[in-house]
Amino acid sequence: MWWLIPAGIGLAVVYSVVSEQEKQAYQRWQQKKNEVEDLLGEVRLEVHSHLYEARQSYNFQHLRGLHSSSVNAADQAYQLLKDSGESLHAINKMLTQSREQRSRFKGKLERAHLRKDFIQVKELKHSSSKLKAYIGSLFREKEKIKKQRNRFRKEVRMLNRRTCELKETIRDYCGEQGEKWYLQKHGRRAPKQLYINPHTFKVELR
Amino acid sequence: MKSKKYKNLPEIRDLVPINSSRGRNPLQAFHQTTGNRWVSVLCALNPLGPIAEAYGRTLAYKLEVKRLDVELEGVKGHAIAARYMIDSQLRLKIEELNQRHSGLRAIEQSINGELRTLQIERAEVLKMARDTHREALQAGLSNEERDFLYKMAMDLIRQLPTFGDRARMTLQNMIKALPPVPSVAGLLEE
Repeated sequence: MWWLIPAGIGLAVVYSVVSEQEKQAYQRWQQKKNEVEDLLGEVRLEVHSHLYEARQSYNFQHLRGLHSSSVNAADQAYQLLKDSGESLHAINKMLTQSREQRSRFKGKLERAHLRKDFIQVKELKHSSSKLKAYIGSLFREKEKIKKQRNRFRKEVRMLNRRTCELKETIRDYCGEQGEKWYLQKHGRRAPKQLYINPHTFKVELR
Repeated sequence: MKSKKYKNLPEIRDLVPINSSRGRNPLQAFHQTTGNRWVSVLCALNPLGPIAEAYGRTLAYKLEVKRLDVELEGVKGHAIAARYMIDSQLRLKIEELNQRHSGLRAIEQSINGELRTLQIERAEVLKMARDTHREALQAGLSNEERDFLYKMAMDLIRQLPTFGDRARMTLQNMIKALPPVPSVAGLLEE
């Protein structure tokens, strides 16, 4: 039975070698598993951030187009408001001139009464009544234009609100490019920020 | 030929059936007789068992590592494919958006032109109304002439709100053509 001793030692050596190999294989497997899990996490994060950036980029393009259309509509509405204001101003001036003319007619009429120039009195009365009717018509048109101006003013306000809302949405939901765009619209420069240059790995200002 | 000494002994084939004993495993016979109660005990005492198990596990780990290598490559490939898909979808959507915006811009340009024409016409009418009004208030006109000028000025002035109404209708068309402002939730889901 003496041969059992070297056989036992041999088996023990073989077992320890195999066990060592198993341990190494386990460690390699564990390492690889961690590597795969880390990579999966990184990829998931990267794809998510890529998707987020793509969405922001799309939102930026979309909202910028809407903003431009909104600005155009607001400009047109403002132009109409200005035009109606101009018409109103012109009618007001006409009204003032017509009233002045009417008071001049009244003066002439009084003088004609004093002179007892009945032909001129008749003519002046006619002119005065015609001017009165003209003033009345001017006033009615003025009221119409005034109402129109108020409607245009409401539309300008509504479109300005929409433009402002779009501008703020671009600032808040379109990432860095949205913020830069917003600051440019307000004539301001984006504040400089610290960042790590991917080429030189140095902290720089941008 | 049997010697006289073994004459009275029975034949061997009578004692042990030779055919039945050939090929029979004594270990199996032992386990059969003991009702397999010693199998687990003997397996535990077998020194080659743990070695074989350890070797088997090593092989399994190696196989698993190879599978993970393939999976790693697959994940990298998926990442590239996902990025490519996102980029191509983005390009497609931006192209659609540009087409929509160019359509909208064409409508805007046409409406801008219409409004500009109305504005020029209105300015002309206003200028004519002012001139006629100035003429009507001048001295030295007969009643008939003055009446005619008042009437003419009023006709011109009455056109001003009409221009305003037409311009307003055109503006309303422009406002209607504007796409609605997307909600925040809509922006995130799109």
